[in-house]
Amino acid sequence: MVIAKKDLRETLRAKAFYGSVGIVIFVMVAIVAGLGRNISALIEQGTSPAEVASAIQTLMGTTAFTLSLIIMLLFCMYTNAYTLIMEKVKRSIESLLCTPLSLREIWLGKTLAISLPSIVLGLLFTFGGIAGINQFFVVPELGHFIMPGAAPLVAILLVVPFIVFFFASLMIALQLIIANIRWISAALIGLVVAVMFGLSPPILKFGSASWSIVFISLGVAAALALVTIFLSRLVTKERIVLSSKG
Amino acid sequence: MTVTIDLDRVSKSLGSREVLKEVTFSVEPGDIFGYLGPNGAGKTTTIRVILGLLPPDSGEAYILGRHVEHDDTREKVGFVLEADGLYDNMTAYDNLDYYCQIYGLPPPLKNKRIDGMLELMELRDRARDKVSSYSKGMRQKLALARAMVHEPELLILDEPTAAVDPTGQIEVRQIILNLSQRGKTIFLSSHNLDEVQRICNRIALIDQGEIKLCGELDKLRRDMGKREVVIGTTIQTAREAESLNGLVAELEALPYVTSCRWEAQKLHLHLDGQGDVSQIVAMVSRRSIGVEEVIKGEISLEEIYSKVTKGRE
Repeated sequence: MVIAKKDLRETLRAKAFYGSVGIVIFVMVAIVAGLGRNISALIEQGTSPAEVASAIQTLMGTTAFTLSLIIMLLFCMYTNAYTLIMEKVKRSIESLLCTPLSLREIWLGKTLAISLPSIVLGLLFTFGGIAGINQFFVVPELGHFIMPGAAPLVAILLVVPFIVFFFASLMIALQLIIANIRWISAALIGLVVAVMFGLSPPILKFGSASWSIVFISLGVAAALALVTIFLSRLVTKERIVLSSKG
Repeated sequence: MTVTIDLDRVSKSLGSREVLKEVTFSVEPGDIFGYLGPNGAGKTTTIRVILGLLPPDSGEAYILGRHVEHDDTREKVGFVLEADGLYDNMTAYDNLDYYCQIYGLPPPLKNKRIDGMLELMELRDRARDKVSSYSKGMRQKLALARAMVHEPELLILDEPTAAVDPTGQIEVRQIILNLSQRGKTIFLSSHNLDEVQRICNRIALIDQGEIKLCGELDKLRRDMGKREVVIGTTIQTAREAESLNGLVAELEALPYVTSCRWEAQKLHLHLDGQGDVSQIVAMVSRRSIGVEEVIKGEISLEEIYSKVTKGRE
Protein backbone atom coordinates (compact mmCIF):
# COMPACT_ATOMS: atom_id res chain seq x y z
CA MET A 1 0.00 0.00 0.00
CA VAL A 2 2.98 2.32 0.53
CA ILE A 3 3.64 2.37 -3.21
CA ALA A 4 -0.03 2.88 -4.06
CA LYS A 5 -0.30 5.75 -1.57
CA LYS A 6 2.80 7.49 -2.89
CA ASP A 7 1.70 7.12 -6.53
CA LEU A 8 -1.81 8.32 -5.71
CA ARG A 9 -0.34 11.43 -4.06
CA GLU A 10 1.74 11.97 -7.20
CA THR A 11 -1.37 11.59 -9.37
CA LEU A 12 -3.29 14.16 -7.35
CA ARG A 13 -0.39 16.61 -7.73
CA ALA A 14 -0.13 16.15 -11.51
CA LYS A 15 -1.64 18.75 -13.83
CA ALA A 16 -2.38 16.02 -16.40
CA PHE A 17 -4.79 14.44 -13.94
CA TYR A 18 -6.86 17.60 -13.62
CA GLY A 19 -6.69 18.09 -17.38
CA SER A 20 -8.19 14.61 -17.86
CA VAL A 21 -10.90 15.36 -15.29
CA GLY A 22 -11.74 18.59 -17.15
CA ILE A 23 -12.01 16.78 -20.50
CA VAL A 24 -14.23 14.05 -18.99
CA ILE A 25 -16.50 16.69 -17.39
CA PHE A 26 -16.84 18.40 -20.78
CA VAL A 27 -17.65 15.10 -22.52
CA MET A 28 -20.09 14.14 -19.75
CA VAL A 29 -22.02 17.40 -20.10
CA ALA A 30 -22.30 16.78 -23.86
CA ILE A 31 -23.45 13.17 -23.33
CA VAL A 32 -25.99 14.11 -20.62
CA ALA A 33 -27.38 16.85 -22.86
CA GLY A 34 -27.64 14.43 -25.81
CA LEU A 35 -29.27 11.77 -23.68
CA GLY A 36 -31.66 14.38 -22.26
CA ARG A 37 -32.85 15.21 -25.77
CA ASN A 38 -33.50 11.48 -26.44
CA ILE A 39 -35.46 11.20 -23.20
CA SER A 40 -37.49 14.32 -24.03
CA ALA A 41 -38.28 12.79 -27.45
CA LEU A 42 -39.39 9.54 -25.78
CA ILE A 43 -41.71 11.43 -23.46
CA GLU A 44 -43.11 13.55 -26.32
CA GLN A 45 -44.03 10.37 -28.27
CA GLY A 46 -46.95 10.11 -25.84
CA THR A 47 -46.61 6.45 -24.87
CA SER A 48 -47.71 5.32 -21.40
CA PRO A 49 -45.59 6.45 -18.40
CA ALA A 50 -44.68 2.81 -17.61
CA GLU A 51 -43.40 2.25 -21.15
CA VAL A 52 -41.50 5.56 -21.08
CA ALA A 53 -39.93 4.66 -17.71
CA SER A 54 -38.86 1.25 -19.04
CA ALA A 55 -37.37 2.76 -22.21
CA ILE A 56 -35.49 5.40 -20.18
CA GLN A 57 -34.16 2.71 -17.82
CA THR A 58 -32.81 0.67 -20.73
CA LEU A 59 -31.28 3.75 -22.36
CA MET A 60 -29.72 4.82 -19.10
CA GLY A 61 -28.36 1.32 -18.39
CA THR A 62 -26.79 1.05 -21.83
CA THR A 63 -25.24 4.50 -21.61
CA ALA A 64 -24.04 4.13 -18.02
CA PHE A 65 -22.34 0.77 -18.67
CA THR A 66 -20.54 1.97 -21.80
CA LEU A 67 -19.67 5.29 -20.23
CA SER A 68 -18.25 3.78 -17.03
CA LEU A 69 -16.06 1.41 -19.04
CA ILE A 70 -14.77 4.15 -21.36
CA ILE A 71 -14.14 6.65 -18.54
CA MET A 72 -12.31 4.13 -16.37
CA LEU A 73 -10.14 2.87 -19.21
CA LEU A 74 -9.33 6.41 -20.34
CA PHE A 75 -8.33 7.46 -16.81
CA CYS A 76 -6.17 4.35 -16.64
CA MET A 77 -4.46 5.36 -19.86
CA TYR A 78 -3.96 9.04 -19.19
CA THR A 79 -3.46 9.64 -15.49
CA ASN A 80 -0.81 7.20 -14.36
CA ALA A 81 -0.26 4.88 -17.29
CA TYR A 82 3.46 5.52 -17.71
CA THR A 83 4.34 5.68 -14.03
CA LEU A 84 6.40 2.52 -14.17
CA ILE A 85 8.15 3.21 -17.45
CA MET A 86 9.29 6.55 -15.99
CA GLU A 87 10.66 4.70 -12.98
CA LYS A 88 12.54 2.44 -15.37
CA VAL A 89 13.90 5.36 -17.38
CA LYS A 90 15.11 7.12 -14.21
CA ARG A 91 16.11 3.75 -12.72
CA SER A 92 14.34 4.43 -9.42
CA ILE A 93 12.67 1.04 -9.94
CA GLU A 94 16.08 -0.59 -9.36
CA SER A 95 16.28 1.02 -5.91
CA LEU A 96 12.72 -0.04 -5.16
CA LEU A 97 13.60 -3.63 -6.06
CA CYS A 98 16.50 -3.54 -3.59
CA THR A 99 14.14 -2.91 -0.66
CA PRO A 100 12.45 -5.74 1.25
CA LEU A 101 9.33 -5.25 -0.91
CA SER A 102 8.58 -8.25 -3.07
CA LEU A 103 8.05 -7.93 -6.78
CA ARG A 104 4.37 -8.82 -6.30
CA GLU A 105 3.90 -6.08 -3.72
CA ILE A 106 5.41 -3.52 -6.11
CA TRP A 107 3.26 -4.81 -8.97
CA LEU A 108 0.09 -4.73 -6.85
CA GLY A 109 0.91 -1.27 -5.50
CA LYS A 110 1.40 0.14 -8.98
CA THR A 111 -1.77 -1.58 -10.23
CA LEU A 112 -3.85 -0.14 -7.39
CA ALA A 113 -2.36 3.31 -7.97
CA ILE A 114 -3.68 3.21 -11.54
CA SER A 115 -6.94 1.33 -11.09
CA LEU A 116 -8.28 2.85 -7.85
CA PRO A 117 -8.54 6.49 -8.97
CA SER A 118 -9.83 5.35 -12.37
CA ILE A 119 -12.56 3.24 -10.75
CA VAL A 120 -13.53 5.91 -8.21
CA LEU A 121 -13.66 8.66 -10.85
CA GLY A 122 -15.44 6.38 -13.32
CA LEU A 123 -18.13 5.61 -10.73
CA LEU A 124 -18.41 9.25 -9.67
CA PHE A 125 -18.86 10.47 -13.23
CA THR A 126 -21.23 7.63 -14.18
CA PHE A 127 -23.52 8.12 -11.18
CA GLY A 128 -23.09 11.88 -11.45
CA GLY A 129 -24.31 11.59 -15.04
CA ILE A 130 -27.27 9.43 -13.98
CA ALA A 131 -28.17 11.97 -11.28
CA GLY A 132 -27.82 14.83 -13.80
CA ILE A 133 -30.11 13.17 -16.36
CA ASN A 134 -32.68 12.46 -13.69
CA GLN A 135 -32.45 15.96 -12.22
CA PHE A 136 -32.75 17.86 -15.49
CA PHE A 137 -34.83 15.60 -17.76
CA VAL A 138 -36.58 12.72 -15.94
CA VAL A 139 -37.84 14.19 -12.65
CA PRO A 140 -39.39 17.32 -14.24
CA GLU A 141 -41.40 15.12 -16.65
CA LEU A 142 -42.13 11.94 -14.66
CA GLY A 143 -41.83 13.24 -11.10
CA HIS A 144 -39.46 10.47 -9.92
CA PHE A 145 -35.89 9.15 -10.27
CA ILE A 146 -35.14 6.28 -12.66
CA MET A 147 -32.06 4.14 -12.04
CA PRO A 148 -30.52 1.69 -14.54
CA GLY A 149 -31.68 -1.94 -14.10
CA ALA A 150 -30.03 -4.55 -11.86
CA ALA A 151 -27.84 -6.00 -14.63
CA PRO A 152 -26.14 -2.73 -15.66
CA LEU A 153 -25.77 -1.75 -11.99
CA VAL A 154 -23.97 -5.02 -11.22
CA ALA A 155 -21.84 -4.52 -14.32
CA ILE A 156 -20.94 -0.93 -13.39
CA LEU A 157 -20.27 -1.57 -9.70
CA LEU A 158 -18.53 -4.95 -9.93
CA VAL A 159 -17.63 -6.23 -13.38
CA VAL A 160 -16.24 -3.04 -14.95
CA PRO A 161 -13.98 -2.40 -11.91
CA PHE A 162 -12.69 -5.98 -12.30
CA ILE A 163 -11.94 -5.35 -15.98
CA VAL A 164 -10.18 -2.10 -15.08
CA PHE A 165 -8.13 -3.72 -12.29
CA PHE A 166 -6.85 -6.51 -14.54
CA PHE A 167 -6.35 -4.05 -17.40
CA ALA A 168 -4.14 -1.93 -15.09
CA SER A 169 -2.34 -5.04 -13.89
CA LEU A 170 -1.64 -6.03 -17.49
CA MET A 171 -0.42 -2.51 -18.28
CA ILE A 172 2.05 -2.73 -15.40
CA ALA A 173 3.18 -6.21 -16.47
CA LEU A 174 3.88 -4.96 -19.99
CA GLN A 175 5.88 -2.03 -18.63
CA LEU A 176 7.85 -4.35 -16.39
CA ILE A 177 8.73 -6.63 -19.28
CA ILE A 178 9.16 -4.34 -22.29
CA ALA A 179 12.00 -1.83 -22.55
CA ASN A 180 10.83 0.23 -25.52
CA ILE A 181 8.29 2.93 -24.63
CA ARG A 182 6.84 2.96 -28.18
CA TRP A 183 6.12 -0.76 -27.99
CA ILE A 184 4.43 -0.22 -24.65
CA SER A 185 2.28 2.62 -26.06
CA ALA A 186 1.28 0.40 -28.97
CA ALA A 187 0.49 -2.48 -26.61
CA LEU A 188 -1.66 -0.26 -24.36
CA ILE A 189 -3.65 1.17 -27.25
CA GLY A 190 -4.05 -2.35 -28.65
CA LEU A 191 -5.31 -3.50 -25.28
CA VAL A 192 -7.94 -0.75 -25.03
CA VAL A 193 -9.07 -1.40 -28.60
CA ALA A 194 -9.24 -5.16 -27.89
CA VAL A 195 -11.37 -4.65 -24.77
CA MET A 196 -13.72 -2.15 -26.45
CA PHE A 197 -14.07 -4.07 -29.71
CA GLY A 198 -14.28 -7.34 -27.84
CA LEU A 199 -17.31 -6.05 -25.99
CA SER A 200 -18.94 -4.21 -28.90
CA PRO A 201 -20.51 -7.20 -30.79
CA PRO A 202 -22.18 -8.66 -27.67
CA ILE A 203 -23.36 -5.17 -26.64
CA LEU A 204 -24.93 -4.72 -30.07
CA LYS A 205 -26.45 -8.20 -29.95
CA PHE A 206 -27.73 -8.33 -26.35
CA GLY A 207 -27.78 -4.62 -25.37
CA SER A 208 -25.60 -3.52 -22.51
CA ALA A 209 -28.47 -3.51 -20.02
CA SER A 210 -28.85 -7.30 -20.17
CA TRP A 211 -27.46 -10.01 -17.89
CA SER A 212 -25.74 -11.61 -20.88
CA ILE A 213 -23.43 -8.63 -21.14
CA VAL A 214 -22.62 -8.94 -17.43
CA PHE A 215 -21.40 -12.49 -17.96
CA ILE A 216 -19.57 -11.63 -21.17
CA SER A 217 -17.86 -8.74 -19.35
CA LEU A 218 -16.90 -11.14 -16.58
CA GLY A 219 -15.37 -13.31 -19.29
CA VAL A 220 -13.35 -10.33 -20.56
CA ALA A 221 -12.12 -9.66 -16.99
CA ALA A 222 -11.18 -13.34 -16.66
CA ALA A 223 -9.34 -13.26 -20.01
CA LEU A 224 -7.35 -10.21 -18.88
CA ALA A 225 -6.59 -11.99 -15.59
CA LEU A 226 -5.38 -15.09 -17.44
CA VAL A 227 -3.10 -13.07 -19.72
CA THR A 228 -1.73 -11.29 -16.62
CA ILE A 229 -1.08 -14.61 -14.90
CA PHE A 230 0.66 -15.90 -18.02
CA LEU A 231 2.83 -12.78 -18.23
CA SER A 232 3.67 -12.95 -14.52
CA ARG A 233 6.03 -15.82 -15.35
CA LEU A 234 8.03 -13.41 -17.49
CA VAL A 235 8.16 -10.67 -14.87
CA THR A 236 11.44 -11.13 -13.03
CA LYS A 237 13.75 -8.68 -11.31
CA GLU A 238 16.44 -9.57 -13.84
CA ARG A 239 14.20 -8.71 -16.77
CA ILE A 240 13.13 -5.43 -15.16
CA VAL A 241 16.68 -4.36 -14.36
CA LEU A 242 18.07 -5.34 -17.74
CA SER A 243 15.21 -3.68 -19.62
CA SER A 244 15.72 -0.41 -17.70
CA LYS A 245 17.68 2.40 -19.30
CA GLY A 246 21.37 2.75 -18.59
CA MET B 1 29.97 -13.90 14.20
CA THR B 2 28.13 -14.24 10.87
CA VAL B 3 29.96 -13.16 7.74
CA THR B 4 28.19 -10.06 6.38
CA ILE B 5 28.55 -10.85 2.68
CA ASP B 6 29.48 -14.28 1.46
CA LEU B 7 29.82 -15.04 -2.24
CA ASP B 8 30.74 -18.60 -3.04
CA ARG B 9 31.75 -19.38 -6.64
CA VAL B 10 29.10 -17.10 -8.11
CA SER B 11 28.90 -17.16 -11.91
CA LYS B 12 26.58 -15.06 -14.03
CA SER B 13 26.16 -14.71 -17.78
CA LEU B 14 24.26 -11.92 -19.48
CA GLY B 15 23.41 -13.01 -22.99
CA SER B 16 26.42 -14.87 -24.34
CA ARG B 17 28.89 -12.99 -22.13
CA GLU B 18 30.07 -14.53 -18.88
CA VAL B 19 30.15 -11.49 -16.63
CA LEU B 20 31.07 -13.23 -13.36
CA LYS B 21 33.30 -16.29 -13.23
CA GLU B 22 33.18 -18.18 -9.94
CA VAL B 23 33.43 -15.01 -7.89
CA THR B 24 34.27 -15.82 -4.29
CA PHE B 25 34.90 -13.42 -1.42
CA SER B 26 33.56 -12.58 1.98
CA VAL B 27 33.06 -9.34 3.87
CA GLU B 28 33.42 -9.44 7.65
CA PRO B 29 31.34 -7.36 10.08
CA GLY B 30 32.79 -3.87 10.51
CA ASP B 31 34.82 -3.99 7.28
CA ILE B 32 35.04 -1.11 4.85
CA PHE B 33 35.45 -3.37 1.86
CA GLY B 34 36.66 -1.79 -1.37
CA TYR B 35 35.56 -3.49 -4.57
CA LEU B 36 37.74 -2.43 -7.46
CA GLY B 37 37.92 -3.16 -11.12
CA PRO B 38 38.00 -1.58 -14.57
CA ASN B 39 34.84 -0.64 -16.45
CA GLY B 40 32.92 -3.75 -17.46
CA ALA B 41 34.83 -5.94 -15.00
CA GLY B 42 31.63 -7.09 -13.28
CA LYS B 43 31.38 -4.77 -10.28
CA THR B 44 27.79 -3.64 -10.84
CA THR B 45 26.72 -7.19 -11.71
CA THR B 46 28.22 -8.39 -8.42
CA ILE B 47 26.28 -5.71 -6.53
CA ARG B 48 23.10 -6.69 -8.35
CA VAL B 49 23.64 -10.31 -7.35
CA ILE B 50 24.26 -9.30 -3.72
CA LEU B 51 21.07 -7.22 -3.69
CA GLY B 52 19.02 -10.00 -5.24
CA LEU B 53 18.38 -8.18 -8.51
CA LEU B 54 20.11 -10.83 -10.60
CA PRO B 55 20.03 -14.49 -9.62
CA PRO B 56 23.40 -16.22 -10.04
CA ASP B 57 23.59 -18.97 -12.70
CA SER B 58 25.65 -21.01 -10.27
CA GLY B 59 27.14 -20.53 -6.84
CA GLU B 60 25.60 -19.09 -3.71
CA ALA B 61 25.28 -15.56 -2.36
CA TYR B 62 24.46 -14.76 1.26
CA ILE B 63 24.10 -11.51 3.15
CA LEU B 64 23.93 -11.39 6.94
CA GLY B 65 23.73 -15.16 6.96
CA ARG B 66 20.66 -15.40 4.72
CA HIS B 67 20.33 -16.29 1.06
CA VAL B 68 19.92 -13.20 -1.12
CA GLU B 69 16.80 -14.57 -2.79
CA HIS B 70 14.71 -13.89 0.35
CA ASP B 71 13.12 -10.42 0.18
CA ASP B 72 13.30 -9.85 3.94
CA THR B 73 17.09 -10.31 3.86
CA ARG B 74 17.31 -6.76 2.56
CA GLU B 75 15.61 -5.27 5.64
CA LYS B 76 19.02 -4.65 7.21
CA VAL B 77 20.73 -3.50 4.02
CA GLY B 78 21.10 0.07 2.79
CA PHE B 79 22.32 0.92 -0.67
CA VAL B 80 23.36 3.68 -3.02
CA LEU B 81 23.32 2.42 -6.57
CA GLU B 82 25.00 3.85 -9.66
CA ALA B 83 21.72 5.66 -10.47
CA ASP B 84 20.68 7.26 -7.18
CA GLY B 85 17.01 6.32 -7.68
CA LEU B 86 15.71 9.49 -6.04
CA TYR B 87 12.38 10.93 -7.10
CA ASP B 88 13.10 14.31 -8.71
CA ASN B 89 9.57 15.64 -8.36
CA MET B 90 9.48 14.91 -4.63
CA THR B 91 11.19 16.83 -1.83
CA ALA B 92 14.16 15.42 0.07
CA TYR B 93 11.90 14.93 3.08
CA ASP B 94 9.30 13.03 1.02
CA ASN B 95 11.98 10.82 -0.55
CA LEU B 96 13.19 9.79 2.91
CA ASP B 97 9.63 9.48 4.20
CA TYR B 98 8.74 7.10 1.35
CA TYR B 99 11.62 4.76 2.14
CA CYS B 100 10.87 4.94 5.89
CA GLN B 101 7.36 3.71 5.09
CA ILE B 102 8.73 0.96 2.86
CA TYR B 103 10.97 -0.21 5.71
CA GLY B 104 7.97 -0.07 8.04
CA LEU B 105 9.28 2.54 10.49
CA PRO B 106 6.54 3.71 12.90
CA PRO B 107 5.68 7.46 12.54
CA PRO B 108 7.41 8.86 15.70
CA LEU B 109 10.64 6.96 14.93
CA LYS B 110 10.33 7.83 11.24
CA ASN B 111 10.25 11.59 11.89
CA LYS B 112 13.19 11.33 14.31
CA ARG B 113 15.27 9.35 11.82
CA ILE B 114 14.49 11.67 8.89
CA ASP B 115 15.40 14.75 10.95
CA GLY B 116 18.57 13.04 12.17
CA MET B 117 19.64 12.09 8.65
CA LEU B 118 18.94 15.54 7.21
CA GLU B 119 20.98 17.03 10.05
CA LEU B 120 23.86 14.58 9.52
CA MET B 121 23.95 15.30 5.80
CA GLU B 122 23.54 19.04 6.35
CA LEU B 123 20.44 19.06 4.15
CA ARG B 124 17.98 20.34 6.73
CA ASP B 125 17.69 23.79 5.10
CA ARG B 126 16.81 22.22 1.74
CA ALA B 127 14.59 19.45 3.10
CA ARG B 128 11.42 20.87 1.54
CA ASP B 129 13.00 21.58 -1.85
CA LYS B 130 12.39 19.28 -4.78
CA VAL B 131 15.31 16.95 -5.47
CA SER B 132 15.41 18.18 -9.09
CA SER B 133 16.97 21.41 -7.75
CA TYR B 134 19.81 19.56 -5.97
CA SER B 135 23.46 19.43 -7.07
CA LYS B 136 25.08 16.06 -7.72
CA GLY B 137 26.85 16.21 -4.34
CA MET B 138 23.61 16.97 -2.51
CA ARG B 139 21.87 14.14 -4.34
CA GLN B 140 24.60 11.70 -3.28
CA LYS B 141 24.29 12.83 0.32
CA LEU B 142 20.52 12.43 0.16
CA ALA B 143 20.94 8.97 -1.39
CA LEU B 144 23.26 8.09 1.49
CA ALA B 145 20.69 9.43 3.96
CA ARG B 146 18.04 7.28 2.32
CA ALA B 147 20.36 4.27 2.51
CA MET B 148 20.87 4.78 6.24
CA VAL B 149 17.47 5.97 7.36
CA HIS B 150 16.44 2.51 8.61
CA GLU B 151 19.75 1.96 10.45
CA PRO B 152 20.98 -0.93 8.30
CA GLU B 153 23.81 -3.22 9.35
CA LEU B 154 25.27 -3.33 5.87
CA LEU B 155 25.70 -0.50 3.38
CA ILE B 156 26.33 -1.24 -0.28
CA LEU B 157 27.66 1.78 -2.12
CA ASP B 158 28.23 1.77 -5.86
CA GLU B 159 30.55 4.64 -6.82
CA PRO B 160 29.21 6.97 -4.12
CA THR B 161 31.56 9.84 -5.02
CA ALA B 162 31.37 9.56 -8.81
CA ALA B 163 30.74 12.97 -10.40
CA VAL B 164 30.85 14.65 -7.00
CA ASP B 165 33.11 17.69 -6.56
CA PRO B 166 36.18 17.38 -4.27
CA THR B 167 34.43 19.02 -1.31
CA GLY B 168 31.50 16.66 -1.70
CA GLN B 169 33.90 13.70 -1.99
CA ILE B 170 35.60 14.63 1.29
CA GLU B 171 32.21 14.94 3.00
CA VAL B 172 30.96 11.61 1.65
CA ARG B 173 34.22 9.89 2.69
CA GLN B 174 33.93 11.35 6.19
CA ILE B 175 30.36 10.10 6.44
CA ILE B 176 31.47 6.61 5.40
CA LEU B 177 34.23 6.63 8.03
CA ASN B 178 31.77 7.81 10.69
CA LEU B 179 29.42 5.01 9.75
CA SER B 180 32.20 2.48 10.04
CA GLN B 181 33.04 3.82 13.51
CA ARG B 182 29.39 3.18 14.42
CA GLY B 183 29.93 -0.49 13.58
CA LYS B 184 28.36 -0.58 10.12
CA THR B 185 29.79 -2.83 7.45
CA ILE B 186 30.41 -1.04 4.19
CA PHE B 187 30.83 -2.54 0.75
CA LEU B 188 32.22 0.17 -1.49
CA SER B 189 32.56 -0.23 -5.22
CA SER B 190 34.78 2.49 -6.57
CA HIS B 191 37.08 3.60 -9.36
CA ASN B 192 38.76 6.03 -7.06
CA LEU B 193 41.90 4.22 -5.88
CA ASP B 194 42.94 7.08 -3.61
CA GLU B 195 39.55 6.96 -1.93
CA VAL B 196 39.74 3.19 -1.44
CA GLN B 197 43.31 3.45 -0.11
CA ARG B 198 42.22 6.13 2.37
CA ILE B 199 39.18 4.43 3.85
CA CYS B 200 39.08 0.69 3.11
CA ASN B 201 40.66 -1.97 5.31
CA ARG B 202 39.97 -4.85 2.89
CA ILE B 203 39.66 -4.99 -0.87
CA ALA B 204 38.85 -7.30 -3.73
CA LEU B 205 39.93 -6.62 -7.28
CA ILE B 206 37.82 -7.98 -10.10
CA ASP B 207 38.90 -8.06 -13.72
CA GLN B 208 37.06 -9.68 -16.62
CA GLY B 209 34.64 -11.28 -14.19
CA GLU B 210 37.31 -12.93 -12.05
CA ILE B 211 38.51 -11.98 -8.59
CA LYS B 212 42.21 -11.36 -9.10
CA LEU B 213 43.06 -10.63 -5.50
CA CYS B 214 41.28 -10.23 -2.22
CA GLY B 215 42.36 -9.51 1.31
CA GLU B 216 43.51 -6.93 3.82
CA LEU B 217 44.81 -3.88 2.02
CA ASP B 218 47.90 -3.43 4.20
CA LYS B 219 48.83 -7.08 3.87
CA LEU B 220 48.34 -7.00 0.12
CA ARG B 221 50.54 -3.93 -0.13
CA ARG B 222 53.20 -5.70 1.89
CA ASP B 223 52.92 -8.99 0.07
CA MET B 224 52.52 -7.76 -3.47
CA GLY B 225 55.72 -7.36 -5.46
CA LYS B 226 58.79 -5.53 -4.32
CA ARG B 227 59.21 -3.35 -1.28
CA GLU B 228 61.68 -0.56 -1.13
CA VAL B 229 63.65 -0.10 2.09
CA VAL B 230 65.97 2.84 2.68
CA ILE B 231 68.40 2.60 5.62
CA GLY B 232 69.92 5.90 6.69
CA THR B 233 73.38 5.45 8.31
CA THR B 234 75.76 7.55 10.41
CA ILE B 235 78.57 7.16 7.82
CA GLN B 236 79.98 10.56 6.95
CA THR B 237 83.51 10.05 5.63
CA ALA B 238 85.12 7.87 2.92
CA ARG B 239 87.09 6.09 5.66
CA GLU B 240 83.93 5.17 7.47
CA ALA B 241 82.46 4.04 4.17
CA GLU B 242 85.14 1.35 3.93
CA SER B 243 83.20 -0.57 6.54
CA LEU B 244 80.63 -1.10 3.83
CA ASN B 245 83.04 -3.25 1.82
CA GLY B 246 81.31 -6.47 0.98
CA LEU B 247 78.08 -5.49 2.78
CA VAL B 248 76.23 -4.55 -0.41
CA ALA B 249 77.21 -7.88 -2.02
CA GLU B 250 76.31 -9.73 1.18
CA LEU B 251 72.87 -8.12 1.23
CA GLU B 252 72.30 -8.79 -2.48
CA ALA B 253 73.03 -12.45 -1.79
CA LEU B 254 70.02 -12.67 0.52
CA PRO B 255 67.20 -14.59 -1.22
CA TYR B 256 64.61 -11.86 -0.71
CA VAL B 257 66.81 -8.91 -1.77
CA THR B 258 66.49 -8.17 -5.45
CA SER B 259 68.82 -5.14 -5.53
CA CYS B 260 70.98 -3.10 -3.19
CA ARG B 261 72.97 0.09 -3.72
CA TRP B 262 74.79 2.68 -1.61
CA GLU B 263 73.89 6.26 -2.38
CA ALA B 264 74.01 9.53 -0.41
CA GLN B 265 74.90 7.85 2.90
CA LYS B 266 71.97 5.54 2.50
CA LEU B 267 71.44 1.92 1.58
CA HIS B 268 68.62 1.49 -0.95
CA LEU B 269 67.23 -2.03 -1.08
CA HIS B 270 64.43 -3.67 -3.06
CA LEU B 271 62.90 -6.67 -1.35
CA ASP B 272 60.35 -9.14 -2.55
CA GLY B 273 57.15 -9.76 -0.56
CA GLN B 274 58.75 -12.06 2.03
CA GLY B 275 61.62 -9.74 2.98
CA ASP B 276 62.76 -9.48 6.59
CA VAL B 277 63.85 -5.91 7.29
CA SER B 278 64.98 -6.66 10.87
CA GLN B 279 67.55 -9.19 9.57
CA ILE B 280 68.99 -6.56 7.22
CA VAL B 281 69.25 -3.97 10.00
CA ALA B 282 70.97 -6.56 12.18
CA MET B 283 73.52 -7.30 9.41
CA VAL B 284 74.28 -3.57 9.05
CA SER B 285 74.64 -3.13 12.81
CA ARG B 286 77.04 -6.09 13.08
CA ARG B 287 79.51 -4.08 10.96
CA SER B 288 79.35 -1.30 13.55
CA ILE B 289 77.51 0.99 11.19
CA GLY B 290 75.08 3.28 13.01
CA VAL B 291 71.54 3.12 11.72
CA GLU B 292 69.76 6.49 11.89
CA GLU B 293 66.49 5.58 10.24
CA VAL B 294 64.72 2.80 8.38
CA ILE B 295 62.16 3.94 5.82
CA LYS B 296 59.91 1.24 4.46
CA GLY B 297 58.22 2.02 1.16
CA GLU B 298 55.30 -0.21 0.27
CA ILE B 299 53.62 -0.80 -3.07
CA SER B 300 50.72 1.57 -3.61
CA LEU B 301 47.20 0.46 -4.42
CA GLU B 302 47.62 2.10 -7.80
CA GLU B 303 50.63 -0.12 -8.50
CA ILE B 304 48.71 -3.19 -7.33
CA TYR B 305 45.79 -2.20 -9.54
CA SER B 306 47.81 -1.62 -12.69
CA LYS B 307 49.82 -4.78 -12.05
CA VAL B 308 46.66 -6.89 -11.84
CA THR B 309 44.77 -5.22 -14.65
CA LYS B 310 47.98 -4.83 -16.70
CA GLY B 311 47.09 -1.21 -17.42
CA ARG B 312 44.10 -2.26 -19.51
CA GLU B 313 41.86 0.54 -18.31
